[in-house]
Amino acid sequence: MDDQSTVNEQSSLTGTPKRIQCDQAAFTSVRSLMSEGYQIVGASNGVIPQEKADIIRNSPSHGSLCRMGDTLAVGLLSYTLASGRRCTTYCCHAGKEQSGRGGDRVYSHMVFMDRPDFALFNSDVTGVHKALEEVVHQDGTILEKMNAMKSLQINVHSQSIDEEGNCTLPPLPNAVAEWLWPVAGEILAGRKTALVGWEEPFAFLKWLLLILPQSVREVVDVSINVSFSPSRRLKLLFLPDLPVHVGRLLASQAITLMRDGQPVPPIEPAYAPWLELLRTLWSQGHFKDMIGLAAQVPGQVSASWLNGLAHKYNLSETGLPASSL
Amino acid sequence: MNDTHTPVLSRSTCLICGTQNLAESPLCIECSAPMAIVHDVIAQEREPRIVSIVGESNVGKTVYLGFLLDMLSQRAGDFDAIPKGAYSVELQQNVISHLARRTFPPKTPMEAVEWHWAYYQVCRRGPSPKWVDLVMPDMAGESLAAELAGPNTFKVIRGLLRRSAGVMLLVDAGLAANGSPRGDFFALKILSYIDALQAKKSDEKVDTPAAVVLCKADYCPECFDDPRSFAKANLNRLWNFCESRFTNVSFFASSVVGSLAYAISPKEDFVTPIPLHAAPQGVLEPFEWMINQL
Repeated sequence: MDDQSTVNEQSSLTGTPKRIQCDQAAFTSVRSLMSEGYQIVGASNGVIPQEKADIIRNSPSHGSLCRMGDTLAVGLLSYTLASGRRCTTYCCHAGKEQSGRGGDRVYSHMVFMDRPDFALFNSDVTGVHKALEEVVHQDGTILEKMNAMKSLQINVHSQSIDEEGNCTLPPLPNAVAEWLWPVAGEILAGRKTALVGWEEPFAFLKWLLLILPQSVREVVDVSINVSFSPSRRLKLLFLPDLPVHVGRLLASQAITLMRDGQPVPPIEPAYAPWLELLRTLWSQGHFKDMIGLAAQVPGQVSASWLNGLAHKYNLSETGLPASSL
Repeated sequence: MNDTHTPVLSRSTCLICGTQNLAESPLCIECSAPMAIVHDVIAQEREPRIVSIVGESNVGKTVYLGFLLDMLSQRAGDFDAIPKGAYSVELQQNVISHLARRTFPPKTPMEAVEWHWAYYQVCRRGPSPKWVDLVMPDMAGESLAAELAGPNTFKVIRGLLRRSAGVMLLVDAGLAANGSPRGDFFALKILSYIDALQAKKSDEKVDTPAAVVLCKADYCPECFDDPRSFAKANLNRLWNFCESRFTNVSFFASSVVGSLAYAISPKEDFVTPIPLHAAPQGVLEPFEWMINQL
């Protein structure tokens, strides 16, 4: 882990994307001399045994990447490890299960980041996921047990506002964006939430994270297209569909269920003034202000603090400059 | 390995790990064991005996257990078996349906929430019928391997093995006959884990009954003639450990598939085994022995 957090400064000066070095691991089903089936096939030296146990427990195994049979299925899994580092996983199918017993082989490639590294990505797991996707597309999947694995250099994807102050993200359709505020309310209130049937879960998650304060954003344990398992203890799940038994499980675990196509639920009252302000900025197309406002919220803040900020912002005609926060 | 102290079960107490759950929870929040078992156990008013089927990935745990349950429910041997709840039938249905279509059932996922659990009331007919309530989960071999490598990675496995009244250890006889030491090492690790769980003094042996089932014995038919000698010759590490640390071990040879074909695809680098027909041999015997020991 000695070379971790090393930002390639030279690349930032030349305009190419910043790159950082971080620990990595891969988990999939292989047949090796020592064992057979799902296992860690490679990990860089900085991954400690406790972290390995966490990734074995949490990584999706056979049939746990949703959309079985879809060779293009992609999943995301991101959670805080017991060691304190954040593990973000890119999941995909890598051919057929090697035992010949049917189904697709699930492949997971993950990186481990300390808080400062994750902050370089604006604490946005979709940015880390995108960087991992580039690595897997470029280098391919690892389907043999490796003795040693180097640490990984990945591109930092964090910018949502360009140098001219324009938002670089395509906005969500209004019907989809209406869900941002109730979902953000659930997360701010600390409730676990499952979103079922979202067509563009990655884009939705990116916007959702942008409107959350940094202190909340960096601890959202989330999955996309990974089947529900209580042992993963995630706070936010995106599921393509909802079999009956999973619906029962979610209900028994006190997980709020939101399904695409149903009426948009009301915003959590405790955070309503704050979220209504963000919604207004969204509807007016002031994405830069909205993102900037959320990004400036310092550390751990209460609902009343956020609502107070919204009140001050509403009182000023032109909005508050970031420096006044 | 039966706990001498039996926890008092309420409808929300997990049978495996003792965690208190919400009353309506279908699974234990801690270890993902189905709470339906607890509800059925309470209705039964009789403490169930857990028999764990263990072995490495792809050894054939799912197929063996599925066939065993199916044979029991068809009154094979002297047994009557009553599944307690529809969830108990899913495993055997899954196995039989797949084999009827000439495919092996899919891999068991590592996520405990996806495991099949069977809770059966088994009666051995005879002049003095013996009833035993059995809980048998179908665990993923990879999860077992992970727990052996790092205890407490899968608490459900630790809880299960601690509470098991008997263990059926499946070892791939075909691999062992070909000289592969992998099954021998895995079996050694499991028994050593169980030995450590018991934390007996060096001069005390583990008295939990252990049936060592030499699976896929159709690959090496000599295994059926004398499973003990086969194990002594081909699984010597396991054999020695059993002699040193376990008081109650027996060896069996077993096979489920009558004949196999192999298919290859130009696009993939593996061979798909196709079970052409089922011809179970030696499936019931280890279970019969286990029931006699409980």
